[in-house]
Amino acid sequence: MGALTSSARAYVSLVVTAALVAVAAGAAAVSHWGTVIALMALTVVTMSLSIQLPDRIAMSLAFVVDLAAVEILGPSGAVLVGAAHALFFGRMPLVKRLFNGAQAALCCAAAAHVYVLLGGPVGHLDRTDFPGVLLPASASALTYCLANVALVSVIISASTGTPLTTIWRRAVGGVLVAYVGYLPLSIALAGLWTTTAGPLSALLMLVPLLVARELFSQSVEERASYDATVRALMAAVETKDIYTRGHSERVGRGTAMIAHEFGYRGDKLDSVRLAGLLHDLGKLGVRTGVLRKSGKLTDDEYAEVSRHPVHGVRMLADIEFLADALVAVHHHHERLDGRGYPLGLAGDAIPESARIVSVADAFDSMTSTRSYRRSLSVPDAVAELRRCAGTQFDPVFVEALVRAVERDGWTLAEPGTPGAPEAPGTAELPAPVPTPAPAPAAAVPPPRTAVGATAPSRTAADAVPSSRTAVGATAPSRTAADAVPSSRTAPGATALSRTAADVVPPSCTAPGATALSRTAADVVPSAVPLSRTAADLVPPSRRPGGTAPSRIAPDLVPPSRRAGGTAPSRIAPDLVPPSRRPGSEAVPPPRTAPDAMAPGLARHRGGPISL
Amino acid sequence: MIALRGRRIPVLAMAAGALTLAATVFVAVGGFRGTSTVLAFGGVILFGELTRLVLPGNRDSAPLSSAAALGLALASTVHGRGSVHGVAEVIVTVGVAGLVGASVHAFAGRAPRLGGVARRIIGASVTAAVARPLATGGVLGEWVAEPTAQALVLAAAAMAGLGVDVAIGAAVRAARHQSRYVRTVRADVAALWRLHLAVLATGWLLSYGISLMGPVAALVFGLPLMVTQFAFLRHATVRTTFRQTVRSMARVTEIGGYVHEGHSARVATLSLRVGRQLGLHDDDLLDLEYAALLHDIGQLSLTDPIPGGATQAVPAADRRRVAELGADIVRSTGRLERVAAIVSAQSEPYRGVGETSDPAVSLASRIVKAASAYDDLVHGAAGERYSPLEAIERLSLGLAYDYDPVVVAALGRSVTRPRGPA
Repeated sequence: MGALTSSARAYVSLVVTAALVAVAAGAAAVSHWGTVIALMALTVVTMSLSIQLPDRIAMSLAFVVDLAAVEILGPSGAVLVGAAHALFFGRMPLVKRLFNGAQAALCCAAAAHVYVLLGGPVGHLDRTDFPGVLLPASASALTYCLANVALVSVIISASTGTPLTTIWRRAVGGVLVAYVGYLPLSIALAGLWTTTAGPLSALLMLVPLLVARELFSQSVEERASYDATVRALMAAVETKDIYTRGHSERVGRGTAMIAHEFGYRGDKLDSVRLAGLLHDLGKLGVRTGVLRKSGKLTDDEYAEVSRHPVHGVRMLADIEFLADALVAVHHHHERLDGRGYPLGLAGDAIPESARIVSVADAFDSMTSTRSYRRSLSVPDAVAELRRCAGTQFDPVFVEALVRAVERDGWTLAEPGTPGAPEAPGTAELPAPVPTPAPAPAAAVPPPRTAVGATAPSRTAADAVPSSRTAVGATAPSRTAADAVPSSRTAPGATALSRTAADVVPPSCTAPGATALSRTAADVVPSAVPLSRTAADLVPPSRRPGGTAPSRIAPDLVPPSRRAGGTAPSRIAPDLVPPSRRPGSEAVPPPRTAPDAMAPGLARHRGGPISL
Repeated sequence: MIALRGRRIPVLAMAAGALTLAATVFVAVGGFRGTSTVLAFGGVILFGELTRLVLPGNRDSAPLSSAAALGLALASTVHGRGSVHGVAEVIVTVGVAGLVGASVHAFAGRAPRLGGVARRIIGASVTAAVARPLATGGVLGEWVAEPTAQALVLAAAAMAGLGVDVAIGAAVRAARHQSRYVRTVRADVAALWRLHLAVLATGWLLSYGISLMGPVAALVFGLPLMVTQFAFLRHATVRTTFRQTVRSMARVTEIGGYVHEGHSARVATLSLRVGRQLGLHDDDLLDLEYAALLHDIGQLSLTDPIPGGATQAVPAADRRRVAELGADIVRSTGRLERVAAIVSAQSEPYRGVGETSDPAVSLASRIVKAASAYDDLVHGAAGERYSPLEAIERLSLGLAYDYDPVVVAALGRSVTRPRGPA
């Protein structure tokens, strides 16, 4: 528990000691050991079976059992039941276990004393007690809630540096609402337990909830398989040489990063991420010949290419879940100054989600190598985005992207192996990009031995598109093997081979839609001097033999991206349960901003909070 | 009986309606007993009807309504006094709440789904017929005096009611999909047993809760079931989204010019019909549907589209390659291993020379293969258009090695009696 400061450690010891005293006193006074042990067992079971609702709300039934224990056993027994929180099945560091058990025991004790003080009946609850029992029961639930938030918030504040008042403000409301919902359940449980129905009937209450739990976890699984399927299908579409491989995937991710940074959550976030992933699907409706055409496009051809967002909308129209995100697919080529397509919308008339996808799209286009130009480094691409902010891109989302990339990094397209999205190189920001990266001192633990040790997979040679010879690709049935590399048919010699694709990342200074002569050179962001050598493109830290210059702040790179790094840096590592560590996190990057809310609170709205 | 085609819903609805009407008359003559209890439960039943679920496979269910009906039927004491409502009151409550609920749905432009309401009325009647005489201390109450024995009888009554509900539902579905009854029952139970379990537990608790807290119990004990219901809904939404997306993705091959318009969707519909007829379970049906939708996705890897997209018109080796490429794409999702296997085997003949059947080629693969070929023939992908009968003829006569006769026979039944939803 090295992450905790000495004062936090002292606080934990204090809470645990107080709980131990209360437990000892309770154990001495308890008479119905059978009931106590049964309820303790029930607590352990319900603790281990918390129900994860969508949108990061967890239902913890342990609270229902705690409150029922107050009504069934009174103060002495309730303390023991609360202490059973420490016996949770599953992996958890000892200190965390102890603290959770101790705080629950103290909460139970406080709740039970309030209950008894207000004249609540102990050990027997039947119809004659209604509605009189409601007052003491509500008061005890309220006491439990306040004690719980008070005890846990201190430790969260100590380990994250978030001010106590902030945690209180965030926690109390959600927790209280949930408690109001749980209260009747606990009364019902106590009533069933102590009357004719008996403890076994009380267990029946768990049945519907366990069923729900199983279904929710199935939904999560299916959700993941859904994502995987869409990604795989997009990858298949990209084998048609429609666009750089892996582009959709990265745009999807970038879109999610921006949207998350901007505060999208839940279904809204998912849907805009999918829009990012699918934004170029409509290119399938454009003749392959036009897409692959070298040199200038005729006006007709240009018009055909610029209809691809409309095709995309047509293809996706049946997916109800995407209804909101369809506009993003439709308008991802609009420009803030109104010179985009298909409708030429300007400013706020462009839907928000479309403005987000547009930024992510351009960013990935600029940072990947195309046959006609080399990729920009992340800082250069950021500079270019900033330059075009206001004319082409919405500055708000450009800055959101910059913040997200600074924090989480950006997975670059691999220039060496076209179309290998699974083997990404890791981008770091070599220099603190224009806005000085504010690294909260408290957040970054000082002794960090990990360096940005990702093995540089790119060498100067790799940065140059290796001579990919165009495969003839005329045989009607091609094997999988030749289907893949031929997706990049660009011979290294002609730099201007894929004009149509370039309708995508038009620079804000380029004549774009109005120019009569449209070649690839027009649309390449003008900031890239084509004469730059390959060596220039490689960040200094990656040059062979180069030592990492001091301006790379290793701490800017999230530890999850560091080689071998697992623990997030801004939250006390030991407090994060293994399943929430970044390494094991399921699909998309949207992580709760570490400083936004401590993990216990962020994930545990809607129940008693614990570590 | 009920399975009379085209008549099934009216028969069912008429039976339930007659039951409700008889009960209403009985109550009107004999007087309504236990009004406050019945009103409280009736409210919950109505709420349950309004929040009914339509789950994958077009199964409708109203868990909260079923559970409240069960609780009402089983309740023995209400607030310490013996409960007084009888069988007729239970039937009237469930019937009226069901009708009101269905009317609201119809008014809001949704399907009223009277079949489901009828099922629940009949199921509740069965439970009440056993439980009410016992709970209100009739002759049955004297025969079975021991509390444990009473509890057992009540539990059996609850399960019998639910069983009747399930049995009727399966009969309707079996008739609609022309599938075997026993298989349909099994598929329905496999899909919904957890929901049934939750309903039974909740109904049981409601009957106790009402003696503890009075009618308020209906709300308190209904809460966990609401969570369950939300979970089912969520699950169904995810599945629907997945299906719609796969459908859209399947159309990619059409818009790219590789396959004729609507081919994937039609093959999926046909495959599902055949699969249901042959008694595939829900999970298998889902795999079958995805495989059917994606069976041509491998064509994306071809440089030039096959003319008309008729995969059956190209040499076997190329067909196999398209199937393999498609399977690779599906496999790369990392999740749909079984779907990939179906896609991969779709170009294989269902048996080799001298074999009766090749076990490596799954039933689903055979279905997709036959359905795809049929669609190509009927929509003239290879040039000539055939009528459905001619197409079936060609499949079953000319290509005896390629297509499984069982599948072709089922396909024939599906297309000559085109009933039932996709």
